[in-house]
Amino acid sequence: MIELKNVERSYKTGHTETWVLRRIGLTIREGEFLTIMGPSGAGKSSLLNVLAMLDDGWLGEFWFDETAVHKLNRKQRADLARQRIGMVFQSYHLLDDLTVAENIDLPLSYKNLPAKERQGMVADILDRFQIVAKKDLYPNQLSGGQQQLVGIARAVVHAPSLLLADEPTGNLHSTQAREIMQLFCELNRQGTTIVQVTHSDENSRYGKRIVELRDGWLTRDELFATNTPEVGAK
Amino acid sequence: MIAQDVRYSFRQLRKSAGFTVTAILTLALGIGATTAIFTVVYATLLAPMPYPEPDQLVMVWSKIQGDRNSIAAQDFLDWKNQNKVFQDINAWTGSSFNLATKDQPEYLQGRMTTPGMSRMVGDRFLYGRDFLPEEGVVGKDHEVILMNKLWKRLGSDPNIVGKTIQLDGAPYTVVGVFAPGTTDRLDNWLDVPLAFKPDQLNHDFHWLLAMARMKPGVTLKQAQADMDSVTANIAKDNPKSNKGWGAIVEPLHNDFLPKDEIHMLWILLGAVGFVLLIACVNIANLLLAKGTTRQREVAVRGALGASRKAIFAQFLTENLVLVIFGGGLGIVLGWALLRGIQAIMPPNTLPSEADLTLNLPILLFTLAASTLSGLLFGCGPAWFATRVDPAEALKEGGRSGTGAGRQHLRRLLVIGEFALALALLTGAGLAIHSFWNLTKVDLGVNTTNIQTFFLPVPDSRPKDPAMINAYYQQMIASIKAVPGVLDAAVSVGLPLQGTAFGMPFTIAGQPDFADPSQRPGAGFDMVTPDFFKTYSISVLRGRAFTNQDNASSVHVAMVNKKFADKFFVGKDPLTQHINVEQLIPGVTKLGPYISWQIVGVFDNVRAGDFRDDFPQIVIPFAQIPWPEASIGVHTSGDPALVFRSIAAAVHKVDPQIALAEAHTLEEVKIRNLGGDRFIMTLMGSFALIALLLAAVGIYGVMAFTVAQREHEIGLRMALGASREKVVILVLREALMLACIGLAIGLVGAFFIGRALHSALYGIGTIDYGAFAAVSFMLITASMLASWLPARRAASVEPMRALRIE
Repeated sequence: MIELKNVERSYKTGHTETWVLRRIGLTIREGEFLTIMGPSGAGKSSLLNVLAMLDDGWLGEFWFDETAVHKLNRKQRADLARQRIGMVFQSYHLLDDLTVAENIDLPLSYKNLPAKERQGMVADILDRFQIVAKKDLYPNQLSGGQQQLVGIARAVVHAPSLLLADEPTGNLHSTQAREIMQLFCELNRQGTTIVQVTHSDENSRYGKRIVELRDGWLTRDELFATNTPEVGAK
Repeated sequence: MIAQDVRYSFRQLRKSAGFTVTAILTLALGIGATTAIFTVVYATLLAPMPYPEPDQLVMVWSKIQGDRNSIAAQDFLDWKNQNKVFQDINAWTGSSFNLATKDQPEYLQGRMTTPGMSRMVGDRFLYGRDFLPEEGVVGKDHEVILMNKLWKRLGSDPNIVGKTIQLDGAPYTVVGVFAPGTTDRLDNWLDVPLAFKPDQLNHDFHWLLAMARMKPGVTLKQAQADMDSVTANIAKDNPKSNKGWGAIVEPLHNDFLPKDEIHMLWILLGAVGFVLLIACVNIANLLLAKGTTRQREVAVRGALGASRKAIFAQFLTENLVLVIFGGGLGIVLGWALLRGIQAIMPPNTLPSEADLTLNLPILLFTLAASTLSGLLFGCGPAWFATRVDPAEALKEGGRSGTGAGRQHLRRLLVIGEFALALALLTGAGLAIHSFWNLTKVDLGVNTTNIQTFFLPVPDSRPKDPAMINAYYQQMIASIKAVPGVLDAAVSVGLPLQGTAFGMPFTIAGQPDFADPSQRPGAGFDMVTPDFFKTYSISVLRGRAFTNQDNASSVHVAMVNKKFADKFFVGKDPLTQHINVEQLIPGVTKLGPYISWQIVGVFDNVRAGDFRDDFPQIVIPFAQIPWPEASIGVHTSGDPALVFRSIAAAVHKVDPQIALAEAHTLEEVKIRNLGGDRFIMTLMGSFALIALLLAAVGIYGVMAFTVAQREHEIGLRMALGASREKVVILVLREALMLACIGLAIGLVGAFFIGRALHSALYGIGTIDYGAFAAVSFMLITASMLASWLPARRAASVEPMRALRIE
């Protein structure tokens, strides 16, 4: 599904150039649940931003299915991301002024879908995530776990083939975190390819594969047999 | 999508109530002021006159030495008969009437018009009709058309046509009532027919105004050419009276509006345009600051698929919602400001055709101005909103940077605000300085405790000079007998209001003018001996008039200093004679030359807008007694306290006469400065608004800068910076912005000064005093506005600020 070849990213500060991704080569197959790990500053989020097509400043080759992302312009990349990718953030990033239903509707509203179709899709996802009763509440009326649930619902409402999650449980306590990770497993089982960034070994075990970054270099790429770990209460 | 953007916009604006209210009020202030002034400009200069085929209507003036002049009756009739370009031409003159009421006679100003005038113009009638041609004949001319305002004052009788009212003691039949509107905005209350008496039919006495309607297809140029030919023929036939006289044909539209006033209206529109621009800059600044706090939202939208176009549209929609509310409130404010402007506007500032109402063109202008404002203040911040880097803004724990570009723009906007505000303040400063100069002008008269009024003696009264003289002598004697009256004098014109006549003259002993139209002219008035004492006008040389200067004595005159300086250079004025054609009471015809021996020179007395001295001749009232004259009364205390007694003294002599246009001289002085006060008030108000907005702008920028620099300030303090140093740090930045704004604004101020120069009095091209004063005001305002943010910066707790990081 995704193939990165010699992807590099650097930032210029004055006369100094700081490299955050070095010659990354990575293949992600459809249906994978991949975890990106590494210490702070290793380049995890930078890699995720490249995959999310939020960042344009990288070098190298990026293939998304048969599409050469590196040859697309900014607008074409945004169109591709809008169709195929969903994003989940550590801080949920729900818009405070929008209700749960409106937050979920947000990515649909940028796809020029008819209002009726959008309403149906939002209703489906609310039902699927069992948050129908909360559809008219505002984010500040929800717990952290509920907010992240809405964040995930928003990310998958348009049925993306790739779901990118940046520390999705970083702000949650362990019970909520487990529920969210199990939800990811469920989405993965239903066919969504998932790439998560995490510091947590426990969360990493929900995935099928771990890659590790250090100083921008890909230093480890390990495959697991299962993504349903035995997890005890911390 | 648009509906959704609008819905979210409402929610956003509701959420930031403080911002929303500030932005809407700021915009409403700019739009309101602009709407109000544009209404005046539109109604006066741009709107078509409310008459059918208004472009066909022209004023036709007599022309002498290149200037326009009023018309002699025979000239008018000759023009009417000989022209080939007008469908119709009519004449009118002002007149005064004593309307009989239950109590005392009431003075009314009116017009005498040739029959057909209203029909030609297209004035609308509520009841009745215009005068018929046969009513323009002496003996059949006792008809009256009432202005709507007089009809209302008389009780709004719908059956008034055919009834009679008493004017100057004679019955006049009401034949019509004008519809409300244009004619109500004239000073006049009624029209009566203008019927020429045989002695009025001459080419010498210029007393009429004429308006004409050109034939369809006739251009102004063709009309002028035709009138040139007509007046040339008249001059050929009547060389003595008409040599050198021509005619000027001018469009009626704004023919009575001085060019300076037109110029000033555009300047005022420019000034409110500046206010609107400053308001837009302020809102743009607020939006830029607000945009900074919404970077995360924009990044999330971007990450969820929003294109830059979609984000731009969302922000622009929010701004346009602001525009709708700001524009709506602006219209309401504009309406209120317009009422305020009308309240302080001196009477007759605008032509009667100018209808100051908020009509469709005004509302379209407001809509355009609001939309343009929305785009002006909205596009920049919306564009910056689309520049957010989602990857950066969504970083956990990342600082939401403001972006150097955004900060630079905000500073530039504040500098722009200050530059614009300085230009406006300079305009106001110059207007105030000019007004101050005018209040300090030596008017040549004492204005304290002087009551003036005018006696509208009916035209039907006898015109025998001896009787007129006796009438006014009795009047003065009766008034002087009132306790509290120190002096009283009769004059035809009044000090500060101008002389009654403008007369050409020759100086004895100097060569005659082959062409009489080339004679110099001067103000000409008749006054009683106590005139100079009553008004405290200094006699600089020779003597004032005495009771011995009477009808049977030598003709004597006094001239003012300006006259003596201009016409008697190097000569003793008291040895000179001047020749002036005789004014004959009750006759609109000049008599033969009278030689006047100059016996005194008096100090210059200003009139009109007090800007210039003008040459003036006065003669003893007893030597040419005039039926309608004014009276000045010097009282020992407030004239208001004795006015009733003065009126009683007048009515003791003549129970039928009204005391018209009763004002103290101080009131006249205030009224004469009304135009300058009006301009000063408007410019001052706009400048104050600009100053306030500029102060709010710099406050906003500094408050935001302080909030953004909390960490840096905390660090500085942790490293030893004192709180005073922090205050100075903030104030220094504000001072720098203000100073750059001032430097740029001074250039604009120079041009404002040049644009205003012709309307100012006693001001050089560059008024350093005004420049310095407004610069000081602006710097002070910037320091005051920055003081709070500076104090807030100084109260930053270093530990807390560093913990945030």
